[in-house]
Amino acid sequence: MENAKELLKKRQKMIDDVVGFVPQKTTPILENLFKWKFLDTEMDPKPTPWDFLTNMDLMEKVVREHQERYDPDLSCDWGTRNNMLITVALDHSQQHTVTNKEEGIIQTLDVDVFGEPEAMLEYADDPVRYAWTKGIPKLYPEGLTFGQIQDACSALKTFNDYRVRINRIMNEEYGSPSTAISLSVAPLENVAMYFRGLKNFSLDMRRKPELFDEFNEKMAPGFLANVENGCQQERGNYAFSDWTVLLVHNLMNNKQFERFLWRPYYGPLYEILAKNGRTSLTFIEGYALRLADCYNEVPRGVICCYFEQDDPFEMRKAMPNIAFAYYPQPYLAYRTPEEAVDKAKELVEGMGPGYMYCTNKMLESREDQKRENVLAVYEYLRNH
Amino acid sequence: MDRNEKVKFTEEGYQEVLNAIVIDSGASSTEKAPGNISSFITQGAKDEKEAILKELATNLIM
Repeated sequence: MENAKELLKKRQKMIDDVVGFVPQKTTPILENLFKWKFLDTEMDPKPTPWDFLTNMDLMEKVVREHQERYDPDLSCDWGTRNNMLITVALDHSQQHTVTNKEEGIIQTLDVDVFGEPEAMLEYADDPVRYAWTKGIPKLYPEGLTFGQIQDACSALKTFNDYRVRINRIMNEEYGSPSTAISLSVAPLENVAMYFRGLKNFSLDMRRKPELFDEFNEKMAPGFLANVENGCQQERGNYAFSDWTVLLVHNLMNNKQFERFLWRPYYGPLYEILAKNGRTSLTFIEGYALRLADCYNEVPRGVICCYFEQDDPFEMRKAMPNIAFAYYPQPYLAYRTPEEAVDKAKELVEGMGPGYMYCTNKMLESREDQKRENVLAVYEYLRNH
Repeated sequence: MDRNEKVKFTEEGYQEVLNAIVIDSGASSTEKAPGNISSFITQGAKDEKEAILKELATNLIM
């Protein structure tokens, strides 16, 4: 296993060099795949998507097969990020979700759990108590049995155990670092995504901005303490200290972003990482370029950001302090392998130090990329 | 508690469930899966059982 250990260290250094803008002879590969790994498997007979998402042994086999075929340096997930086993345990009690077992998809409906904007403060005072006494009875009007809760707890434990196991396998057998010690999603994100709904959130933000300030004052200390705790842990087999995810800025103008997300959460988060010599893998959904004024406050050597919609060369100009991970997915799906490699070459040469590969889209369907294009691009990135 | 018993979503009901649930030992409970510590809501839990119930409760309303 010594080779895997050395490879893991080498990969950690490659990633550090990207974040620190140190010139490299190869370009690290970060994969942002979800179900594509499963759709690409050569297992015979091919399992269904639902089997893949709910059978942890099968998931491990698919992840191993994928790693052996493509050997990426780093992955956003080794299986799935969403625990489908809980849905199985609750059977048909989740009326706010729509389950499509054939496709392996669960959709969460836009439900207003809070009912009124002021409830966000009650939630902030004690999230677990609020969830148990107010949220769950609202979302499960027919109630839940002790057996369902017991099974759902066991499902959570099984999934957590899988994550421990697959991380150990990928670290020790394949030399691939785990992504990050902590995952930071600002609590305000959940208010929009799950508790109030996007429309209500958007209206509340304009009508009662002081509620958002109060909510953030209550929630930010715990959020930041978690990042600080991550920094106090040894780096171990991780690539980054924190995985920072920005989603709800898409509903905000720049002033709202600065007031509700940057000042309470993300600005201090990056300060903590910088102070501790740690790094963040940051995902910015939608458009990111307009956030440059805030991101210019962060010193070089802290962030590697992967993004979706913006031009990478404009991003480089606007944020010369931030390393980027980017590759336009359509080149993997609709172009020839030669064209896909030419695009990789253009990015490697044009972006210079502080660049690594990552598709600008999470890949979920078989058509999202062609195997021959992926293999050709990876070959180039490893040997240019 | 009986498996078919309806859970009470009150503070007392929470304690009853916490006392009754059983978490199988699997991977070492001292090992952290990546991303788990991000669940700052579970900080302060006295053991793995409490951490899992807290995580489940907050996940069920998402």
